[in-house]
Amino acid sequence: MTLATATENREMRRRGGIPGLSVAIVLSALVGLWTAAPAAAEGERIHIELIVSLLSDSPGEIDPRAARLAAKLERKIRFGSLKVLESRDLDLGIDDVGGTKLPNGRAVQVKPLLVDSKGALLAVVLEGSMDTQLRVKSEHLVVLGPQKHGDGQLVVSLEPHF
Amino acid sequence: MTDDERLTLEAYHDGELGGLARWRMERRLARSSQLRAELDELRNQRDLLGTLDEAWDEPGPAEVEGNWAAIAVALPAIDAQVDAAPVSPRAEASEPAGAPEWLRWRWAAPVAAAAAALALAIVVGRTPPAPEVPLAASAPIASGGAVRYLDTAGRSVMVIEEAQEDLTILWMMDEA
Repeated sequence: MTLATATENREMRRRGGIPGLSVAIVLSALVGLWTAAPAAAEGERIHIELIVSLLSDSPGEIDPRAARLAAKLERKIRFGSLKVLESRDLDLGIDDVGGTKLPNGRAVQVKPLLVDSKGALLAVVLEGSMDTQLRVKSEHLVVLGPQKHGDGQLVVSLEPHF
Repeated sequence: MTDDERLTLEAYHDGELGGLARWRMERRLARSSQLRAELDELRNQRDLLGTLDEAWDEPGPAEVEGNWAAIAVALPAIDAQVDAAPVSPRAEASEPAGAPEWLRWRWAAPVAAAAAALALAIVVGRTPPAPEVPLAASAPIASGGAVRYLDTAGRSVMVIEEAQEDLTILWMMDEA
């Protein structure tokens, strides 16, 4: 082996190492992006306004805390009065569970499953009534019920904000 | 459903609605599972009536012509029988003994089929529309609205989707 050939060999080995290093860098970047993307989604949080109301056929007042709910409901559901029993603000991340106990002993639970450009996918369980998943945009009002309670009916409303 | 609504739905089914009316009906169908059920019922009824029409094998012109020709051939023999009979010529002529068997019974099958089809059409036409039964769901729902899955353990639930108002109502019918 001549000196020139040895030099050439070293040069070739040096050159051969650069593509390998580039590939490693690119792969590392891809791995970083791959692991980073879910983390960004998991960081999403949803604020849900949960209201438990009691509807009654008897004429009466509409609780001002649920004026917007009443205005939307009265076009679809007939009732005489609406009283807010509980109003709760839930701040949930993906797969976090939030909810409340109803006056009749049953529970309502909400779990955000996904948030993306199309909206949020929420899993909601109203114990004794339904198990549902809804794809909603921000400020889309969801009303679940009723459940008989005393002389009236319990209704749960959820309004997500994200 | 009112009579006007039913007429509009039937017009939609028959493709008789104009652009704006058809668009309105399609929006209502997208929002109302009851309306979609009514449309399906209407389609089923129309399909049934269509099969009844196909079941009745109406004789074509060639067959009719052939039948008259056969009658013309048999007439002289019938006339001879009538002339020869001393008593009750009308009773004899009502059942011509010389007429072939197939001539007597040729029309029996289509007449019977027509009678059966008519009777069935009357029954179907008088069948009251399906009662407005709300949805009983326990499955994924491909409604295009907010609800993607709903399980009520078989209990009836009414789903009201108002996309323009950003509102979805899930209403248990047996608690209402």
